[in-house]
Amino acid sequence: MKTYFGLFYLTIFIVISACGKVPTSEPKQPIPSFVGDFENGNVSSFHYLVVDTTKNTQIVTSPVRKGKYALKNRLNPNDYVNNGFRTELAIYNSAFYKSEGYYAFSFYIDSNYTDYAYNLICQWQDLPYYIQGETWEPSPSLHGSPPPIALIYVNETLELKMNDSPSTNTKTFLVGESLSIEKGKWYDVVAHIYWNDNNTAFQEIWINGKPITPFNGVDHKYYYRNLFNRTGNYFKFGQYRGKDKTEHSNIIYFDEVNIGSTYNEVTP
Amino acid sequence: MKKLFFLCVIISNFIHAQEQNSLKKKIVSVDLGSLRNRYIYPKTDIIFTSSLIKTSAFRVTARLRSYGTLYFFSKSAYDVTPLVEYYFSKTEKPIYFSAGVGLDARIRLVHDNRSPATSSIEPLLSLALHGNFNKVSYSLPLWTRWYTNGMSYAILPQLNWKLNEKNAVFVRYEMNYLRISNHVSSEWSQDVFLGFTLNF
Repeated sequence: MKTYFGLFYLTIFIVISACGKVPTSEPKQPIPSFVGDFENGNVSSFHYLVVDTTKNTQIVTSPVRKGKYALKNRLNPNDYVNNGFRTELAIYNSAFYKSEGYYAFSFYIDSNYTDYAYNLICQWQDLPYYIQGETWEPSPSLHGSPPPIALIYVNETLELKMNDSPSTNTKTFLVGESLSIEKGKWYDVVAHIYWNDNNTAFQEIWINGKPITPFNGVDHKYYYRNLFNRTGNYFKFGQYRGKDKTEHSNIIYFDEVNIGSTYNEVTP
Repeated sequence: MKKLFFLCVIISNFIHAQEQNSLKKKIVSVDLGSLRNRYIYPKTDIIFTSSLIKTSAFRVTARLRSYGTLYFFSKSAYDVTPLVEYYFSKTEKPIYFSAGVGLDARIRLVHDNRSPATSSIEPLLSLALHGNFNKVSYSLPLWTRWYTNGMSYAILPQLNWKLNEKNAVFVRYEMNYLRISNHVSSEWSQDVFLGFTLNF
């Protein structure tokens, strides 16, 4: 009889000690600050989504938005990585469920940039819902769809686009109006985003200090769901052309890639 | 007349159900789940249910759930869920109940520093309503699971359509309510599964 009691208590102990957390994301986790100003002369603080870091992501001294160095990002026609034509640098742990963050970067379209087709210069893309059993491979269908939020350089303009469905690529829509972009000039982007899987989520974006998200009567916060699950998203910048090969090698410069908790903390 | 007709149907179903008492049979079921929250994500289950153990009213069920695959073999995640249930009836009726305890083992195989997923085992309590008719049977389990920081409740209604004495096809809907303690946060999630069962 004592043996049975012993086994019973041992089982209870094992179960209690092996218990995990509820498989849903805890809200309001703080977003870590990030400084990506390239002043250390390399891109080691980023995750690479590039074919060759020595060719696609070079550190240069001109043009530079601030400091001594900037990133020269080159996308060649055959640069195909992870199911898409791209040369991107990523920052994970940068967008959590019910958290709020400021994201900034400066970009400069090279004077010799020739293509007019779409090119995502930054995106906040989905992640698998890891704690509910999902992983990258085999990928849930949401990873074949456009990101919830992206800034797109197309036809010499910049567009802020969102995606309404994680299952198709036909539900993207333009937020605000297209902004004309001059080549050979620095532009500063700051995004203030509250992450949620319902329409209390918002995005408020400025280019060179001017809001590009539409005025809602109070401020320029555009309220729309920006998470398809509660893992959160991740931030990446560079050039992304999906399955559409670029015609020419195109160069965009980046500098002052920062993440923080206030506008002044991230803006160059 | 209508009432008499329905009464006859119910009685004939009841008699037939008793003759075909599947509680005395083992059951293997296989299903595929695809619709998850807002996007498609494949999951598969293989479930073995024993017959009533000897003369007791206990039955053992073991479920193996694979994530991210329609072929049962997953490199990413499995759930293993053994369950012992007491049946308050030894014969199938239009309505009968069961209660059980079990474990829900979440096995996460991902070695990715972006993933916060960890393997764990949680205790599980099941209360279920069952029913059996001529061509259809149903079950309505309610599962409660305990975690270190909260609880979850799941309702898993399943409707079986009998093709013959041994085989049936079914649809099962799963709705989970996941709640972190102190009302910090909660989430509803849902899945739909289609599958078939084999009694032997």
